Amino acid sequence: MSGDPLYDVVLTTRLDKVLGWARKYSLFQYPFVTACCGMEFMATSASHYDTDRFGAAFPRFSPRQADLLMVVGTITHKQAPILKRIYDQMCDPKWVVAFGVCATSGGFYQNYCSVPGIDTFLPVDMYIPGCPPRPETVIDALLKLQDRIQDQRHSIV
Amino acid sequence: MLFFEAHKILFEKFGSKILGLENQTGRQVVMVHADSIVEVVQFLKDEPMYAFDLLVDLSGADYSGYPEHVGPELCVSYQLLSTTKQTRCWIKVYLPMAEATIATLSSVYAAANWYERECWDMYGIRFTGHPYLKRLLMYEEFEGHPLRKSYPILKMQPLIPMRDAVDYENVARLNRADRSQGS
Repeated sequence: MSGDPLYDVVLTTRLDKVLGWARKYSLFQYPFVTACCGMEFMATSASHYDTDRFGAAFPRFSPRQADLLMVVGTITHKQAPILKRIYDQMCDPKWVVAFGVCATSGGFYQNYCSVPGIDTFLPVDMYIPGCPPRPETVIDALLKLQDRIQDQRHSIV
Repeated sequence: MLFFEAHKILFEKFGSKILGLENQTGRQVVMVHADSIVEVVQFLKDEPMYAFDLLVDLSGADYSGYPEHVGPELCVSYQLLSTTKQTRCWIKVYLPMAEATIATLSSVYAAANWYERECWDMYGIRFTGHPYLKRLLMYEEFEGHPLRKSYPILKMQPLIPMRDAVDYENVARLNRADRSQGS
């Protein structure tokens, strides 16, 4: 109400919404880069495409400080326990992005050594198709993930 | 001197241990008996006329079911390079599936160590006298040798339980059935 003296200085919202807003714009990602998608990941993170604009690009190379696990590249059965362990080390709340077809579904690898998609052992929030995906696709996925984080329930304890 | 202008020397020196000389896609390949691979390679390395001082590659192959292939199914192929004479030499040894055993080359070329570990890992070819014949690429829990033709093409051996694991053998079978019905 415009007559209210607090109208111009106070913003009312729900705590849930504020937490979602804070979390979606401070995604600390852990890049688990195993293959050629890493090049495209670097291109997306670098100044041309600059995912830092969206508050979603600060890489932490310790899983304990990260809340977004980017699985970039082919995961082999030999590597799967390592990735699982990385995921388990991350603190809640945490999200997982499967970057590229190999992480999504195994891609064109269907053989003795490749995991047919990391969703066989991890909960995945966002899949990015492409071999490798273009930076625009990655940014689109990040924005979609941010929308999803905003809409999620954020319990305080 | 080109290597194969002088291959007769090999026949003269090693006699029946040299099983033949084949032209495979434009390359002259020497077929060597499994018993004497170390002597032949040592000779090729030490003889100043050849001076093959570098082992470029050592790989395995499984010829089971290969068209027009007769004789033992497993194969180890060696590629040697002379850095002084700029010549290459290809050597093949065939081994029976039941007893895939051959002497190691790691005493001749240090590079053979990891090549032979990879070859053991992928094809189950046992290199006798190898200092550390352990799987190179696959994990210790892996059973079998994945590049052998007898290894099921879609068989996986996951180390951690897979959620909603798809029965890929069955999917492939259904896909094949679909295709054959469609055509």
